[in-house]
Amino acid sequence: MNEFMSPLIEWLSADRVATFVRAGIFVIAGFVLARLAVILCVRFLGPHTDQHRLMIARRLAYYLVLVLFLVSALYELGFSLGVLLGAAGVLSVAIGFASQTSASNLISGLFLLGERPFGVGDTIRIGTTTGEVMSIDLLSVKLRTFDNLFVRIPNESVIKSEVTTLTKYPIRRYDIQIGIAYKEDITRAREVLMQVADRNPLCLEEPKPLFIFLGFGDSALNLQFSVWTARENFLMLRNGIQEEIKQAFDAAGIEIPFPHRTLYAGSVTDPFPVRVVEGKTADGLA
Amino acid sequence: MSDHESSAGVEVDSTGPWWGEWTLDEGETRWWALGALLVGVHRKAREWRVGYEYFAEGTAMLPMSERSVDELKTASRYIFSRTGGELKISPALADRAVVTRPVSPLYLPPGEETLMYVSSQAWVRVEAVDPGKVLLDVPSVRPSDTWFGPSTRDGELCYASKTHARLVLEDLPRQPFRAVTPLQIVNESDSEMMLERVSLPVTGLTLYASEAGELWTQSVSMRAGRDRQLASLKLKDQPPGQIENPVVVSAPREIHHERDLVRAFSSIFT
Repeated sequence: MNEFMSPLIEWLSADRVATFVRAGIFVIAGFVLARLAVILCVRFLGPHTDQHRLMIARRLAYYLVLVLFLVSALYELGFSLGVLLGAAGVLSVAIGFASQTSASNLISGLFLLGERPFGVGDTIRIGTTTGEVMSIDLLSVKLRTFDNLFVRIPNESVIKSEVTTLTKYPIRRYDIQIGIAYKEDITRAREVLMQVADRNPLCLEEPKPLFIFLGFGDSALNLQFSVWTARENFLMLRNGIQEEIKQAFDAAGIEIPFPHRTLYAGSVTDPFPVRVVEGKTADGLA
Repeated sequence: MSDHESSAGVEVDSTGPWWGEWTLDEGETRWWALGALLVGVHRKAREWRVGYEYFAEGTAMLPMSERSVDELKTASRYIFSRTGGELKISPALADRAVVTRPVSPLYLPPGEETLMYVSSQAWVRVEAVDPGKVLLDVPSVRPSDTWFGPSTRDGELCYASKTHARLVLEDLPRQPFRAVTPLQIVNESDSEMMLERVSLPVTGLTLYASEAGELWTQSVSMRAGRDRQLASLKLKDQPPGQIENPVVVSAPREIHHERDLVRAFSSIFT
């Protein structure tokens, strides 16, 4: 037994143990100081910057401090940094080939952080997904949808697809498409719509509501009525104003038509004659 | 002040000021009709219940004796260790700037100045005196929102005034729930200035009441310099000279610094 243990004890001579202990202390100190750096970052930058920049600053501080201490620990253990970096170079080529998708996401993530089309806390729409940005990480963007689902979208998809930031500007326009019957007076309909907008306090007085006559539809005169509102009131306005338009049109006797189909039996025919026969149903079972 | 409450339990018309102090017994409910606003307050031993809703003009008021504060469209409950019976209703100014238009756009040549009268909607503040807590702070009529700024990207959300800015005080409709501000505009730029809309930062103004129950704020002076959308703002310390024996009824919501430039004028909006 002694014969087996003695080389190990020899190897773990006082010097070497001290080296290991020092390296260990570096690693532990690295973690502790990195956490400390994050806390300091939040304390000093927190009140002056937005969530997005704070997140980037926190990550930078954490990883910078941690990497410095890990490298020091490796150096303490006798690793030559030059050789390590060379090996890392070779390794990164190999890993790059093996993990193209991740690398592409990583690069896309860096572009996203740099370009900053949206920040943490913004509401964005990517494809059919709309949600609040929870974090922008190196590989993916995390969203919380309004039905409280967690959606992870790879950065590469975000870079490649059309992204709409719904909370970029403080006010938004809501476009309402309405059809009115051919017999109605467009000027009157316009007046009624303007009155509805005027009565709704969420509808901005300026920029003024927009009225556009879109054209002659199949069964209706197609109109567009666009109103502006503060973005936080958007949903409330959207729900309220359609109801108010319907009520105002009903009160003013303006018809909102549904698609009409006219049966026509030729150029000179009279309307189809309809005769009601008492005591008989359509299928003949009286 | 009791004339604000009719025998049916609700105040409908006013001859004097609509604000003041009332005392409520435990279990008592009181109702106030302030402009288009219906306010109900109920006191319990350890709780204040307060509710409000807006009603359209001309609608008949339901008998209130049967109604409860909780039935109103917006109702809140505040819990305290104990409640004193004193309740204070006071007027206040809007919590955002108010945008007003002259009847038609005005041109102000360089070096000229004008005095206009602007009126803005009053807010109704309901406060439990002991312990001091504002239970309600809502407009007497909900004004329409509006946007004030050079573009749809850059600007400020304000309230739109339903009345016009007037050069003659008599032309301004006087209502118990509106406060009048004398506004002096000086064109210090070297070109003609077109006034289409003026944004009045009412959040920094003090509200005064006359003996007759009229609401006024101190005079405001706006000086337009080279950048004609921005103005240096000067708020007078004294109450306006137009009313006698003014009393302060509400302090400014926020403090404006004299050196601050405010975006006050808009001549073109795209």
